Amino acid sequence: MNSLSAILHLAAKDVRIELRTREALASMVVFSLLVIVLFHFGFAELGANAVVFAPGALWVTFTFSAMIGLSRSFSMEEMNGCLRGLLLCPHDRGVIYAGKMAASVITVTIASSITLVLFVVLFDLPVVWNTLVIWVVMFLGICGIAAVGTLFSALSQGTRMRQTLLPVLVLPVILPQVVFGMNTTAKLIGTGDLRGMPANLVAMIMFDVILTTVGVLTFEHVVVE
Amino acid sequence: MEAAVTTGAAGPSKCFGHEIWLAGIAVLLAAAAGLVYAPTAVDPGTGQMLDFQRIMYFHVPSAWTAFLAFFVTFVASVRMLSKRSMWWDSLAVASAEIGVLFCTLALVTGSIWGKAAWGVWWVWDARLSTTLILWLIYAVYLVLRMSTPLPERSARFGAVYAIAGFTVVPLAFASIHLWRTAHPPAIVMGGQGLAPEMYWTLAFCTGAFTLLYVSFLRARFRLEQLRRSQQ
Amino acid sequence: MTTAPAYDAAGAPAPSPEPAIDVRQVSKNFGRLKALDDVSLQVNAGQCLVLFGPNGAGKTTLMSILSTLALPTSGTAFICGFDIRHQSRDVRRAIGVISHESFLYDSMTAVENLRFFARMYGAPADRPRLERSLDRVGLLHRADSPAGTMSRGMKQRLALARCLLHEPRVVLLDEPYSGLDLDGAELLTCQIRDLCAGGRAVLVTTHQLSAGLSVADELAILARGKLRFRTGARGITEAEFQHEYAKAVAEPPE
Repeated sequence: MNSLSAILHLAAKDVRIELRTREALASMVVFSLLVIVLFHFGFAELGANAVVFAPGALWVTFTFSAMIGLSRSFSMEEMNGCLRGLLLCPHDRGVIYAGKMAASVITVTIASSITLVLFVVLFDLPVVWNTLVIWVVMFLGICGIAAVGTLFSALSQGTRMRQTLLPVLVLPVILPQVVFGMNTTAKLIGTGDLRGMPANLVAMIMFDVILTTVGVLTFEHVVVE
Repeated sequence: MEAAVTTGAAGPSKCFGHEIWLAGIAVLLAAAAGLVYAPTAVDPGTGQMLDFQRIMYFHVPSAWTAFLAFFVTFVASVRMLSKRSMWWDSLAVASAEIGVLFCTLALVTGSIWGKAAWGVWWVWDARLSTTLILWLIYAVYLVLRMSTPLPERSARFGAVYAIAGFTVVPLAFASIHLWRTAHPPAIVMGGQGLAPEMYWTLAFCTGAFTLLYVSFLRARFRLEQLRRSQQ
Repeated sequence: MTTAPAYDAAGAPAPSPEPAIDVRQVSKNFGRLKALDDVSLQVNAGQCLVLFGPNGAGKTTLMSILSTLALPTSGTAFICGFDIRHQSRDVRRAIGVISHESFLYDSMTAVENLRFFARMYGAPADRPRLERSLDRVGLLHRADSPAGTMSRGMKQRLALARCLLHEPRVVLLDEPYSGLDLDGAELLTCQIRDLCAGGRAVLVTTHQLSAGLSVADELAILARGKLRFRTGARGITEAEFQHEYAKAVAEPPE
């Protein structure tokens, strides 16, 4: 079986398990709802304009709910030593990383898409025709968070603090991508101005590609003693 | 680098070599140059004398040295992983600690400079923001290493994190800079034209700080090697 | 790998020139602790070597290194001629591993577990074939039960089915007897004998003397990271071996 099939097969296994239990998806969506409520009372009720604070609030929500999904990436493999079972397969270790990352991208995107809809509806945001672009920006951000989060989830699992260390590890490294995503989304919601958008998307894609490459190359050293 | 000091306990005093004296003298000279020799900057618009600008001679070298330290950590991390060598790991962690020290100094001096120049303790421009992210990444690097008790695992994990972290820094700078040029902020921390004496002073101060970094690095490296050999 | 003459000058089947498992001076340090110290051993195809040792002797460390889950600090090892450092994928294709951990996904059924690993190993994953695998370990009636509902003994049998999907030439069993009742242990002994009869090289680690002695062709003792004793199983009685074991374990640390 070649590497690409193995990646897809591993990702499919993870997604199938998640869809069966739906634990992570439920946690992520409920968490997003709670954050929306918080932001409403913290900002909207106090007079702030939703169009101004929504991009920031949205991306804070995406980022922290992604942590919930990503922490499961390797904590689920702890039972029965399943990670070692995966590492025994005759593939490069980067394949295991890529499969896990792909699965996280899928589950976090599903949860975040629901979040995006909730945000638009509950904050009455003026987005209609540029929703697709906002979704693409969100997706690219999630890819970056997943690239970093998958690698660091494997790291965290080997520390004393386990997955509680994950947000601490991930946030400084994804800060540029999240800030960029926030600003791009703000532009899309606020002015709907699409000039310069291709350049922004390319910048985000570059971040994703570079961090995924780092993940593929260094994952072996995280998991092999 | 010469072998670790073998006499006596693992005391820091035994780890400093003679280069620290040279570095100390260089730093004193640099301070003199920055505070006395360099001409006072003049605001081009108002013609006002800007004494506080001298802090540049401490801020810029600190930032440069921090960046150099983290680059050394990055290279040492890559070597450590390719050879699984704990020698390179000692270098990586030593350089990271000293880098955090110099990075803190850079942030503090940058903040003081901002306060003196524009009355605010912080400006979110590309350079300072990237320096802050750099500080966060390496502070977390030290936290990660503390949370991983097994030495070989701590070395591997630290190396992977340092590589990911360092790779992100140019991306951070580029993305914040791209955004800033599109939306220039009210306050721009720029390099105005510098008089030749200022350039020389800046170069000398940078050299002195680099020398200080190297002597701290050697000391911290020796301390780390000593600690490991005595565990 | 060179081809060897099938028979030697006397007409008896000649041993293969290359051992299936070839460990050469492997050491593994954790800080200043030497988990493995200059360990060398060989296991030929069709043989079963049982490695005895108390907890902390380094058995699991050695198994991790042989299954490419860890790198040695120094020394190297070859599995079917493949280098564990530089040809680790080929090594993984040639080995099957059973550990005290089952490597099974509790929420997936027995068949789903097998299908997943069959696909990951590039082995045929059609249902009839998987059912035959399950039948061989006596689990066909539990094919569609989640692995989480199975007893320890059943999980062990499913793990065995999983490890043989890709027909490995070498099988590594790390503490396989732990947690098994008498019936389970007897069954495992039969299964290990079958593996050897099929021409595979088998390496078993355990600290249970009687269980290990029942399957061994060769015996060895690992204590505090060093290989302290090695012999063929036929040339020694159980009592003699117990004596050697006590001696090896009691040696003062260097």
